[in-house]
Amino acid sequence: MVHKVYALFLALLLASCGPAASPSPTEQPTSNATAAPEPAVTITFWHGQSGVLGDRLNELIAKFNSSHKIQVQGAFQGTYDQLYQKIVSAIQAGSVPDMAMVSGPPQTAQYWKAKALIPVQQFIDSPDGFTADQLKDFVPALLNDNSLPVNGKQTLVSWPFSKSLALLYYNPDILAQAGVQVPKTWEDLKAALITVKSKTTATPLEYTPDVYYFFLPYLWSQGGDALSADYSKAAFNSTQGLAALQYQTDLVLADKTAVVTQGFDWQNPFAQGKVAFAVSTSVSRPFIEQAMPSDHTFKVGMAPLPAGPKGAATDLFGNNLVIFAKTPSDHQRAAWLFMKWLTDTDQTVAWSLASGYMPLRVSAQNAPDFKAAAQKDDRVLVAINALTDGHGIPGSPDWQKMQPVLGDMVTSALLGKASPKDAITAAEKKVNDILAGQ
Amino acid sequence: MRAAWRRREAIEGYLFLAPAVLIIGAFHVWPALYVFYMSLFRWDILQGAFLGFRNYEHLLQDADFLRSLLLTLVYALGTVPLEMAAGLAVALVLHQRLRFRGLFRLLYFLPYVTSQVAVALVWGWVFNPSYGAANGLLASLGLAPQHWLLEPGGIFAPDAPPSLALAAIMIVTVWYYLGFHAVVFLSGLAAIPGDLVEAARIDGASGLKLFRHVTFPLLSPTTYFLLLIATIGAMTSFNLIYVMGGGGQSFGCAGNPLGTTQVAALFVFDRFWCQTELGYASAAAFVLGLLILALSALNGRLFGRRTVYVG
Repeated sequence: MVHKVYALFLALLLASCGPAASPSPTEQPTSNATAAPEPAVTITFWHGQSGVLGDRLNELIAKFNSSHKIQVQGAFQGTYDQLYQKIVSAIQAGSVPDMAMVSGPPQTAQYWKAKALIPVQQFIDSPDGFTADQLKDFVPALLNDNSLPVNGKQTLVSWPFSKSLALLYYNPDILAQAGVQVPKTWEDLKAALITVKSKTTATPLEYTPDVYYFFLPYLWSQGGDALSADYSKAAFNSTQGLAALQYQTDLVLADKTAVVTQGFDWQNPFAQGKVAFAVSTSVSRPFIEQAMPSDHTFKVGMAPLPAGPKGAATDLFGNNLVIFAKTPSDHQRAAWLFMKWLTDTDQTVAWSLASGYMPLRVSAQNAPDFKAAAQKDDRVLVAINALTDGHGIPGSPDWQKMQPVLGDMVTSALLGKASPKDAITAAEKKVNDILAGQ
Repeated sequence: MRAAWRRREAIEGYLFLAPAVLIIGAFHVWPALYVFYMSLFRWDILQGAFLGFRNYEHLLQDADFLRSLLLTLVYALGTVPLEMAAGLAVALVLHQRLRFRGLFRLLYFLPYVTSQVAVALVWGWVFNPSYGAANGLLASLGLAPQHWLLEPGGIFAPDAPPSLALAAIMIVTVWYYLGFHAVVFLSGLAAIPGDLVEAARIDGASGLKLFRHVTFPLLSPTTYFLLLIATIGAMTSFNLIYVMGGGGQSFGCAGNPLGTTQVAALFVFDRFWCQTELGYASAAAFVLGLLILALSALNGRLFGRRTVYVG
């Protein structure tokens, strides 16, 4: 009987690899030797992926369902905001799904604080999980992005899925016209903007001043940080923080090379070829291309954010996956097996190529499909190469309260309502008040 | 026999009432009571410690909340009288025997039946500082361009509300609701008995006098109705302000720039969904509800008694 079950499990495991799979060494199920058979349960998965991305995700789910006893029911819950609202409501009501997408560490930290999650680490350490070697195939920045301090130890609470990061977008035609190179450092960018302004009629830079696109990457690239390591205090009122705020204030108010917009309002002018530079996430390219007039197209340029003295830095965006505590243990395990399957090299490559999100594994970059795509268009490599510089959004459950404070700090400096020093000092006080629970 | 018949009638009556009672009870009364219950606790994602009225005490000292109330008041004062006056003016014109009267009615009413989110997005483009029509208009008049929805500075004084951003939203609000007011005023005008107007005319009243002494007083039930619902609407206004204030876009929450469009409903939303302070947000929502109730009572006291009903 035991042999039968084991054989069945092995067959399923092989089936899940699929006929076209060319498993890398990291996929060998070495730690699965004692894993229990796959539970035949149906699990619910709440996500926020709509449109084309929703279709692609449904295809992946269908592929999983056709080769597994576990059946996954994907349920689209609206935008990330709506998904968050529904999960918060579900936690209140005590009727959570088995697993869900979360947009970033702060939300994970909130659910974790509400004792709504079980840490993914539990499964990683189990026979269903990974050996230390296998885990090394995942990009370290992404594992950090999914880890929270639990009893003083960094623990994987969520698991990466659709990840993107902030990049510099540029219009190569305007750059050629102005005779400027793609900037490598923040100073290069500042100088390039001035040249574009003097030599062309284009707007040098358009961006929406929230805390992510300039402030945090600049701060990190100078060796600074937003919060103290234990998330107990603000750390951004520093020389580096002030420099980060001063930098963009200079672009907007002194050099007048940057125009401030709201939301994604920069996207259309950029697509129409009126703007030289923009900053956004790595998944913005299809949206820009879609907004391009058919008689006036250009090849959207993508580059890593400029570097500072401590190298380049960028924010990790996108979403991760979590498993809820208040769901039966066989469902939890099924959810983990599905999550694990989703991030197998085959799936992560397929999902990356379909969605524009990044592949999560080092081995994915050597997968034939990915190599072929990169050969056709090397821009798919830009985000991946920048991954090593990725910083997760601080995993403090209170980050969502701090984010508007920091956004207002940037806005008030850029609109000249407060000096960078005053703005940063006021924001520091507010953030410390929030962290002190006041 | 008779008693049984009466009882049956009573049961029937209650049965007829039941759907309304159930719906209002389930979706209005019960949530309101529950919001009050939540407001007594520290409540993040999960219910926390019982705080009594401490959330309320905190609210009264919260500069952001007090500002949101002030902004709500400014928003209501800046929109309700304007949209009513403009609506009445349009109604008076459309009440004349005009050519294409039906078409004009339709045109004025059109904004009101358009999705507020769509309206807000289109107007967002009109007010775009770089490419919007609003700055185009200013430029053609030789005036300096403005930041519009990105401008936290006040239109009267730099630090006094409304900010240019809120003022721009107020313009859109008036534009949006004008047609609704016009159509309701039109029906009010149609209900004024013709013989009263004729009698006044025979007595020598015309033009402004006729309007002031006959038409306007006889319109008072309509005016009162519109004042009441427009005030409540303005006090709870959310969609236009949320979208035009950059809510839900990018990473901000509600009430950009610098909180200068964060009216009370947005404050509640911000604290509830963006800051996940469910108990505190509930207290703010309850206070807002009480204020609206008080204002409606005040409206009734001030204007309800001056209402003239004919017919």
